[in-house]
Amino acid sequence: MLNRACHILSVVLLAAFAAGCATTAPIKTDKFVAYHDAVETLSAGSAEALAYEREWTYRNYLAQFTEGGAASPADLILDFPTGPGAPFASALPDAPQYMTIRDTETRLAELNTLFSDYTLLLMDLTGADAKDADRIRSLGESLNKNSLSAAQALGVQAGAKPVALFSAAATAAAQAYVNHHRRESLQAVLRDNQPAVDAFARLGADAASISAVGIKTEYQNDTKRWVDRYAKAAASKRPKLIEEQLALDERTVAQLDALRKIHDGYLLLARKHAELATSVVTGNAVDLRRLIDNGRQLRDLYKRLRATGEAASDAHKE
Amino acid sequence: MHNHDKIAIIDDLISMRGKVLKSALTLKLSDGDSAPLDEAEQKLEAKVQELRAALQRQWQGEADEVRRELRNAGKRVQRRITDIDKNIKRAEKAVEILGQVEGLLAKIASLVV
Repeated sequence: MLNRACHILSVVLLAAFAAGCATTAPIKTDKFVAYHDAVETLSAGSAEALAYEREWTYRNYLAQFTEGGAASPADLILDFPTGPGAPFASALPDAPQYMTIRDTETRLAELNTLFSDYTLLLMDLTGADAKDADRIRSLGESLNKNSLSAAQALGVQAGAKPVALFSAAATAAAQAYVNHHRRESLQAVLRDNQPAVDAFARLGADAASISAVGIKTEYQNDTKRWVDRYAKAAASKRPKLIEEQLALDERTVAQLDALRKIHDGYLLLARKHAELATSVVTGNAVDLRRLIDNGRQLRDLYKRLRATGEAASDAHKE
Repeated sequence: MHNHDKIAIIDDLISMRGKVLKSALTLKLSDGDSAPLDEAEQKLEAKVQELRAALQRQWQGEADEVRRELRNAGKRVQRRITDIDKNIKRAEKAVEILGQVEGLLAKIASLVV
């Protein structure tokens, strides 16, 4: 009789608890974890790309003072404007280009951090840390234990399993209830935040395109000096100069390739965010392979670029 | 005008500058007068640098706007997480009550047996 009562009641309560919950299965969290990792890789790559452009621009800025150029030392003298912000305000109205790149770097890093934090919150919302599942499970287990010992103490011979069924059912229902709310919430925020993610992705892609403009400009600044040196060099010195230009070409092509990957990576982030929203509804897995591959190739490219950069720097020292 | 249209214009200038640099090298190597080309190259460089800086500044303005949007996106998720925490507490409470009902049933059963 006890078995039957427990069974019926547990089924009724389970149904009531999960009522209205269309989808109660846990959300697949691995894609959200992989998505966050891809954001981190892209963030590191874009920081490295802009630092590369800034350093190159700075070197060419300094070179103008020794080799002649449009840069003026007067541009480095601070203005102290009166009015709003005074007496603490300062400005460099004709700040050198590398300072503008530094400001872009700072802002892009802030955006990347905000987006990375956002993806961490998404992971939290999926229940990736499984804290709630653990909390509910341990509560259910402790209730089972108490009920079993109470039943045994009272001499109930109904057997452990049927008595425990009631708490187990409640635990499962509670988890289903939480899962349902997680899924519903995740779906809503992914949908509502898509315009912000699109804007972020477009801006990240634009930063890569603008940096490509900078890289090509600095390449031409180096090349202009090389043209003069080559034209004036004795024939015996020219093979060395050819090697120098070939190395510059190689580094520039690799840097432009990295910027293309960063550009594509940002656009993929927005597309995959939209696909994650759909996957929460349909339960279909999102294919993140292109995004992950893009990040891996970016890491490899920078490893190579760092190695060739160090080699070039060693060659200059010789 | 969109950023990519502006970038396309700067790319045209960069492409032209590249051609000028190549021609200047050819002239220098054949002892020709490369001064007009050097002057053109300098003008192209100045224009590219000016547009590059303007593009950066425009991007920075847009970044400030997107930063606000991303902050709001994060807040929206945070609010949902808080709601979920409340739901977990409700679920825990329900499990606890069901556990008490279970204990009571066991007690009743012992009286009936």
